[in-house]
Amino acid sequence: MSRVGDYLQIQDTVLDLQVAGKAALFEAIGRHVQRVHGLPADAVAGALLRRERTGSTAVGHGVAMPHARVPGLQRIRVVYLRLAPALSFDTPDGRPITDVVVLLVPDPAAQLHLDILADAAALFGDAGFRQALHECNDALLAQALFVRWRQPVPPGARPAQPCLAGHAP
Amino acid sequence: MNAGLCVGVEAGSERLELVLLGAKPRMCRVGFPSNSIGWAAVRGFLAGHHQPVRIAVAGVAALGFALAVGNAQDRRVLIVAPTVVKSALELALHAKNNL
Repeated sequence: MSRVGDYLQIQDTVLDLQVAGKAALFEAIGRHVQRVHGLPADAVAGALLRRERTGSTAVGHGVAMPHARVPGLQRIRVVYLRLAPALSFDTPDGRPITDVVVLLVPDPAAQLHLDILADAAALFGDAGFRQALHECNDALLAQALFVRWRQPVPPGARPAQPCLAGHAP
Repeated sequence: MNAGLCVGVEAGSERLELVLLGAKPRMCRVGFPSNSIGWAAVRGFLAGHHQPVRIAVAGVAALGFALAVGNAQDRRVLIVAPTVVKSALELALHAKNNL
């Protein structure tokens, strides 16, 4: 299983970002990936905003996982942003968001996209991880936490299996 | 509803096992935590698909998952008795053939 920590780079870990709203958040993400990775800011922000309009990517507990397909992207990019102050968002539990995990993917429905999303859900579903992450006061520590944190494996869980591309429809 | 993404979900109390049958790649398998964040993450992933999605779910957490994901335009969710089909792959095939 691919993990968030395998794809999250230190320069893509941003703490205490201040944004005024959802659109401003996506614009800030666009500017970030343009500056760090040379991706077109408007295209990234637009793709995230269009995706968000089809349904909220907030998952509760102050966490959102916006993701979008970005044409021309060579590999999956993961960006983590901690917001300060918290931002109102369309959340299932009504709580504003403080943690944003952004997935920019070159291909929809890819196995890797699902694996990283599942790992992010497992990490942020763990209250201990959320608390430890909020206690990190610099990007290096936060990025290291993504790499080193291990979730307990639930009893009966199966090992991850690779994509079976040869399945007959 | 024309062919799109067909998803089978084995919804246990702690883990969701998903099999997705689609065009590209033809099959993916993934596990999510079976809690509110896992359900919302799956809903968020499926909402981004610009094609019909058919979901068949079984297991002790099937009702909660189905309510969290919900029916929507071009998305159908069916709760299946585990005596009919059980594994995520069987459920995905059930969605493909019966929804």
